[in-house]
Amino acid sequence: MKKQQLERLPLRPKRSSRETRIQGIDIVICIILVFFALLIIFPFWHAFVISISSKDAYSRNSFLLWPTELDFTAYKMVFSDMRLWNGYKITLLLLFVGTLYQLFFTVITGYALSRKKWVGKNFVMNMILVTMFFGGGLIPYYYLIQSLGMMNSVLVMIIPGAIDTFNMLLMRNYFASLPAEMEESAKIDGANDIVTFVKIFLPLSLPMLATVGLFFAVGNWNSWYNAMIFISDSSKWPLQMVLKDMISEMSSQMETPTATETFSEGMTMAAIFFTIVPIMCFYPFLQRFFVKGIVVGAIKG
Amino acid sequence: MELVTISRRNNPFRKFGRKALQSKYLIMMILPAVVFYVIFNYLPMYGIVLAFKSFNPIKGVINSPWNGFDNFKEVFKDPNFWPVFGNTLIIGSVKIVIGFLGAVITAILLNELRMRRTKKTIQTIVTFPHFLSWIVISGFVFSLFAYHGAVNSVIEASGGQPVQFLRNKPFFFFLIFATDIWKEAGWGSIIYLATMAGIPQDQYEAADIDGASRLQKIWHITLPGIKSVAILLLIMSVGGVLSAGFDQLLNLTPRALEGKIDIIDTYIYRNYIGEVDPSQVGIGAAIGLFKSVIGFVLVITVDRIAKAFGERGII
Amino acid sequence: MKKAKLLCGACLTALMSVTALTACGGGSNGADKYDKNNRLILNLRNVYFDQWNGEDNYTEILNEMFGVKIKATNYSYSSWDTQVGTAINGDNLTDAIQYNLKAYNFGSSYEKWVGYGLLKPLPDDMSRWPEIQKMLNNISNIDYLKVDGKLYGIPIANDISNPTKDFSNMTYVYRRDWAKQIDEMNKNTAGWTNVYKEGDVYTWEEFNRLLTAFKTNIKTLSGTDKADVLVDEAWGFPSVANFYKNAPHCYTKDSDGKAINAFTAPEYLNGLDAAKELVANKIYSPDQCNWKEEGGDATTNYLGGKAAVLYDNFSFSNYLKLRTNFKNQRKPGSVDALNDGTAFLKIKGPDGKFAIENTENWFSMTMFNHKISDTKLEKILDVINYLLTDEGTRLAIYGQEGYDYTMDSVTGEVTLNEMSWEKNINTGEYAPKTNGAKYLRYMATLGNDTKAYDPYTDLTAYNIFNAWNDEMKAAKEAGDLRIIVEPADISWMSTATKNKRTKANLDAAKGLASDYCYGDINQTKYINDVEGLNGYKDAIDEINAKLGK
Repeated sequence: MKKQQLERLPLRPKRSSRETRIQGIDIVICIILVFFALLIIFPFWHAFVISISSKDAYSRNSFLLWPTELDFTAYKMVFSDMRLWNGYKITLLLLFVGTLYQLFFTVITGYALSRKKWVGKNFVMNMILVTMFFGGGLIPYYYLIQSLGMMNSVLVMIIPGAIDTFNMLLMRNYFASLPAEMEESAKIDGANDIVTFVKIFLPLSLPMLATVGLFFAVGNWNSWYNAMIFISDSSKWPLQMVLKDMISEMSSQMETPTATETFSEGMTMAAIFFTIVPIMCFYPFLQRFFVKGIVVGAIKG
Repeated sequence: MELVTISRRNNPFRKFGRKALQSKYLIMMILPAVVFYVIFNYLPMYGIVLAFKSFNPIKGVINSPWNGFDNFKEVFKDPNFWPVFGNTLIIGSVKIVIGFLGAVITAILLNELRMRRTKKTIQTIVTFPHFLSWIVISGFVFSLFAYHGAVNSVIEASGGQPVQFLRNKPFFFFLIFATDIWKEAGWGSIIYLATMAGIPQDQYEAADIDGASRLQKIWHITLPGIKSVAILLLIMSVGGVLSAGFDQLLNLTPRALEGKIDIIDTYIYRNYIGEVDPSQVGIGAAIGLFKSVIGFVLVITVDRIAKAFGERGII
Repeated sequence: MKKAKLLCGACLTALMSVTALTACGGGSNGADKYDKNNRLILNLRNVYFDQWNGEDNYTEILNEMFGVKIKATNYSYSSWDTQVGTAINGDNLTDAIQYNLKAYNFGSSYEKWVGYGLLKPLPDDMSRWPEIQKMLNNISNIDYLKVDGKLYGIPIANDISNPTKDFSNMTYVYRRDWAKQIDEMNKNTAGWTNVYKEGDVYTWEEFNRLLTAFKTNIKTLSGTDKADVLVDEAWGFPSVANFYKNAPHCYTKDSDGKAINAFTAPEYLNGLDAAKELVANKIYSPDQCNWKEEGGDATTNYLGGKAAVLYDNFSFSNYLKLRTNFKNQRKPGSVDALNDGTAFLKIKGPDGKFAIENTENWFSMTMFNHKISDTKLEKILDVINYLLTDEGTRLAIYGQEGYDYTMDSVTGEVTLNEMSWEKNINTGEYAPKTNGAKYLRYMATLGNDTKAYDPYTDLTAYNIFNAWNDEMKAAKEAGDLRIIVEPADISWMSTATKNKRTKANLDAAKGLASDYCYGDINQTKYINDVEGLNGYKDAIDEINAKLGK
């Protein structure tokens, strides 16, 4: 019975008696969608071609459909840069430790808020909603991080991200959508809320955990802002921050006794691919989790 | 004696305590969240007072002297602020509308597509850009639309005159909206698509029997089916109308248009945070507060309106 | 129940203590702290520390020598402002920081920080640090940098060996090889006079002829129709106006000595018209100012073989950077070809004179957190002072005596120890070696004074750069060089609106100038818009009031 409840949520409409014959309008729809998809692929492809073409080929014609004069120097330069690999290391740390940490707190909060009325629930809920509109700004936040002793520490990219309100609400809505009878039967057996959560709800919500975990993972992969403000030691910068710094060209009136290599278009594109390829490789396989998660979490809300 | 017992039973604190005890495990689970929100969201909230102070870094937020509404006066008499405010409203609201239309249209098209495989592939592709950062997207945009970029290459090859895309304000507005659709339409469509999947099939079957065309079915069945979800999402997005896309604007604005098309957030960043002048901090805080209040009021209003029309609100 | 109460109590106490901690603000940086060897820890932050993490043997030598533990962190090039700004507003500066002084907007940061009391001044008596004092004596306009007679930091000298140089390195390089190629292609054309001038000195007419010749042949020369003749770094556009204008920034004086708007002065308008004509003829790159700073700008185009003339700040290190990148990206094949690809272009304006913007011999400043103890400041100054002595300089340039180099005690001649210096046999270049002493020296001077004997210096490039400098100095002596300078009494004046609005208005006016050159707006609108900028007129009124005009 529980199983069925979940199966009812999938995306694709069930095969029905609706006509399956392909009409003219189907062709039109298909063409429009394929066109949209091409529009999305093209910039990636174009950037990729630039990154593997020689500079001369690119300077002759900036519209490259196919790689001409293959040239991998851009990638060689990017791959031989220790700063990027170091950034990778930090980002991987954030990815694993940070994601697990965030998942833990977000899920227990979501669960507690999904349960039927308990004392203070509305208060906590409103308290959380207000934070979606009001904040104190950077300076008090800076003081806070300072007094928590997280300045210049990798922790500053992890700890303050414990709960993401949006993901927490997704989680809450998912738990609320699960049938209440399960909880009741567990309660009759004498289990308390924590046991019910761990033994019954958690195993049921693995797909949703995957979804929210992935949201966090992507967020961690792309994060740089906290590093920019709070981390002065550049060996602790995550990949995106390193990349941002490397791409940004020193075009000020300032003298730079140490900066050496100027990024060319090819190197910029290669560096961009360096950071998005992992997402690109995993995304098609993980997509169904994303989709399921956002659907369940948002609709039932 | 009896009196005492009664008063003890009715003691609100005891009542509260008893109730709390019943759900003590849930309270234990929510406690970390309460601590987290208090520390990271509520403790820094005293920073709002900066809007009414003239900030002095040595004295800190609490001890800086008050200056009443001077910061607000400064903002509102700044001739650059109102155009920025107007831009923000325009960009924000157009983005809500086209974001909504883009998502719904994509969802309808995908829903109507009958080739299962193609549909899945296309869905994968169109949802992917959601995960890219604006830094990456701006890299793509500049390499395409620069004067010597790819688009002008095609224009020239077909005998046209190259166009100065990135100096052109109207084109930049187009670019803001186009990249927004490019990035978010596919992602936004997921939720509508799922809602559509939940519309009972018998409605379509009945319509088939009545001989309805595909367009009629979309109009009379699909669209009403997603109405309440759409309204819900619109309410949620209205609160963000003044956050018209800080990251996008900051990364996408070409040098030639820098400072000419600002939204509130980029204006604060450019003038009051990116600069290293403590005396401007209060003004930045004032603008931020102004923005929060408007966003909050908007959401409450729209929520009430939606409820008045019989829809489910969010608050 | 009791447990719950206890828990609640504990939580409340914890929260209150955190509130108490956060509300008072003010960072913990600046206090005296010692490492396990009881050495005073110095936290130094500088944008030039970018390839160095603060730890190596040479830093350790300094640590031991002065009983300190140096910790170095760098600012991100892309977010320098934000990083300094948050540390300033949080009153949490590292012991030493580095930031721009911005001569043309003197009041914006440094002066205000001093006003708030965020910086610690240098001691009045500098006799303990003679090398620093010697350097400070050579810093231009140093008195203007003092607030109430005190100097709140060490201005970082561009070149302490060359203190009198007052013109900047903002100038042109060009593709001499292309100019020669044009002559070669046209040598059989009747009546052809060469566009290329021996010595790279061009009169205004010759320069314009060169530009036109580039324009005609650019497609053949570059192999692409995407190429442009003249590109400026975005901050410098339109560089051609330099040959007309007489003020580098927002303000200038008219013949009565009254302050006026430099962006609408008749000379500047003439300059803009000259630039506008070049834009119309597509000699100026139509791609100018289109991109963000990241990629796609003037230098990238030049290095991509898509531009013939480039305007930038060619300090020696920036010039060297251009050459290195040119070598890597364009692969010229020989040193001569490399020289031809990156040759200095010397242009005499319509008045027959070279025109270069003025510069101070500093750009940024090393400043100190107001919270540091006198001992700590003294230690930092000790380190810097030592690095400016001959011995310290040798540590920064060659390394450790006896290990990295030996010095002849009589002649003072230095011999590098090949065991410690790896040399690439093919290129003759030394393998890079991290030397913290060298980076630390950037806290006081950019190291241009040591280039002549630094093993890493590309001497060919250095000689070319020096030849340009000498030529300009000679021209200055002969009265052939016009230095574009803001009147000192305006430049160093501090007024409320001027301090607040000058930088914003400078950027906005530059933007409008570029709009005018590209034909987006006409002259009337340009003048109206510039004069209508928020606070521009007020600033000029304030200046005139102070000048008594």
